[in-house]
Amino acid sequence: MKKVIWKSNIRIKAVGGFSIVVAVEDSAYLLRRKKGTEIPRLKAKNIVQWKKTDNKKKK
Amino acid sequence: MSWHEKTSVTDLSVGDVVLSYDINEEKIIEAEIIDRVEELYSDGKETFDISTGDYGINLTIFHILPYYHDGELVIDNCGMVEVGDELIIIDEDELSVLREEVISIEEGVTDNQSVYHPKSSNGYYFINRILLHD
Repeated sequence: MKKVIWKSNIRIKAVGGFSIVVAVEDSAYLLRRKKGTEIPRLKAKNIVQWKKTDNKKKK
Repeated sequence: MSWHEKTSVTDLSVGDVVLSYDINEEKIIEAEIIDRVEELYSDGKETFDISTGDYGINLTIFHILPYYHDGELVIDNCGMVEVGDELIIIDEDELSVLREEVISIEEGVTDNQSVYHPKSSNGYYFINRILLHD
């Protein structure tokens, strides 16, 4: 486990549901995987790709 | 070429797969958006416009982000970040991360602004290429 330092005590408030991002005029963006895209094998070693889990149990 | 596209925080949907980061393993991972709180109105809350020159983000006092202070990893609310600290930035083309030094922080307050709070499956995501903790 990596050593993490907390410098303040505001964490308690933050985990209480007040954590918010201010997005002004769509200026805040995330990086979403393009639909239907597979990451090439060479690059895939740099990333743990998300895979949907199948909740249906095999009989 | 990138396999990921920019999507506004306002256009994000539950189920979308976004770039994220495993702090302990120091690996880029993908995470699923599992919740999204939108259009809260936050009056008179402190905001911090943090910039590295190339990258910037405007956060409220309650938002948490990981950063390096004197070479040590800190995960704390954005009000604790100081000029000279380093943020974790992603290069989505190379699928690599780098650290960039904060060169300016402008403080302000919210004024009936819409705020958006995505939640990812591992608690982290990159906004404006800067790693944040939800």
